[in-house]
Amino acid sequence: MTQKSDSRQSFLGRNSEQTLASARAAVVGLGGGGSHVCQQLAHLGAGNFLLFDPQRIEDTNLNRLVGATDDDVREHRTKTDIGRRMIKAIRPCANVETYPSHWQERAEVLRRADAIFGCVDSFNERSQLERVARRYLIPYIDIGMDVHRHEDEYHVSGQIAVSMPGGPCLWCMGILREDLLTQEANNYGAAGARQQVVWTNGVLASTAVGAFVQLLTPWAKAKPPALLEYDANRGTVVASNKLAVMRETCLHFSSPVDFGDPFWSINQLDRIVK
Amino acid sequence: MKVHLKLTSSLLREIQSDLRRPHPVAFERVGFLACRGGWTDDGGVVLIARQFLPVDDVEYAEDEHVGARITAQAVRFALQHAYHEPDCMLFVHEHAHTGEPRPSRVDSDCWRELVPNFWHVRPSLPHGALILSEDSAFGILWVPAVRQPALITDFTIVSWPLQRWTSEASR
Repeated sequence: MTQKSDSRQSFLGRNSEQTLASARAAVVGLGGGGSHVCQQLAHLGAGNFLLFDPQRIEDTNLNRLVGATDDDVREHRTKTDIGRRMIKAIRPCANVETYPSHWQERAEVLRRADAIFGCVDSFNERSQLERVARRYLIPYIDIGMDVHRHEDEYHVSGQIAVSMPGGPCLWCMGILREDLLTQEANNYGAAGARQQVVWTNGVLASTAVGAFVQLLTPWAKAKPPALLEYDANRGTVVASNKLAVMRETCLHFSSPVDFGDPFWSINQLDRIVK
Repeated sequence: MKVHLKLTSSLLREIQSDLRRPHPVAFERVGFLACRGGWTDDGGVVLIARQFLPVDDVEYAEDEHVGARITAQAVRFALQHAYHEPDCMLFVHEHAHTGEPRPSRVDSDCWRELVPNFWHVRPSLPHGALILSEDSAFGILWVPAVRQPALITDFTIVSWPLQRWTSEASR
């Protein structure tokens, strides 16, 4: 490591490079948001990645999937392969595990994560991811975006939520609601199939990565707000007003028995290792 | 086998505040940490500490040869917990210094005697022991039918910021 790079990261703390290199980040969803997250984590020097996405790239993704190329579309590559290639190009020594499947099929893998980035479109998936994160005391960083048409104007907004064990959850923050889970509203509603949201995704992903850095290497004394709201029309990211009325502790995940695998037993060991 | 113990900073404070209280006859305090857990895809274990069971003042016996001797009733209380709850039990005490603690001969002898009792009441789960220091920890876990115990390799104190300790003893 050169002296130059040491001095560049010194404000993050004396052992920050080692801390980031030993960290294991799970990124679930490698579309417009998750690909940005991977790129920035690689530049930061995060050393271990768990990448989940069951999809292959399509031409409609090319305007927002960071690191993807026209050749990837022709080859119909998986988003996880594209993510791994981008990370390795930036940081060849990174350990990148790819799971081109629904994360629920490999949920045991997530248990190894130090933090989970939820970059998924559906409320149901958010809900399930947060539940796993809470069971295993894993900080969960969620990003989400909406494009709405109101009268003659489009409105683009989003949020970055940090769900820490014990603290407010996505339900406390109002990101998850029963009616949303039932309707399973489409995040990009009015934006159409070729969403031009690469820059708005970038804002959300950058802010989420900022929370991850602060979580591991607390370079600033102030803890970032649990919920930040992004208004792309105004170009602002501000702490949510909801925080003022939110409980500091969560009642949705307050049961002391809701930890780990409810069926955990040594009898499972053979199955897992195989 | 890679074993990772996670506990919240609030639970750690609760444990430390109990273990650091002076006792009229014992030189140190001990307790039991109840954990849930799960296997990881690579055959590792993630332990999630969920409840600390302190030992009541009256359950310490006077013994000048060891830091703390607890009564059979105190052990029965912990066994009863494991019987009713599907928890992995860690016998816990603290060494009052910084850096990674190491078990003494007395510690090892004690664990060999104490830990197997938990398999009588909860044979489906591993059980073990934990030593805390002021800024680190040492842990060991026995899995039934596996003769060699596994050291707890990683510790995460879940707080803002995260504190992560890796055991030197496991390297």
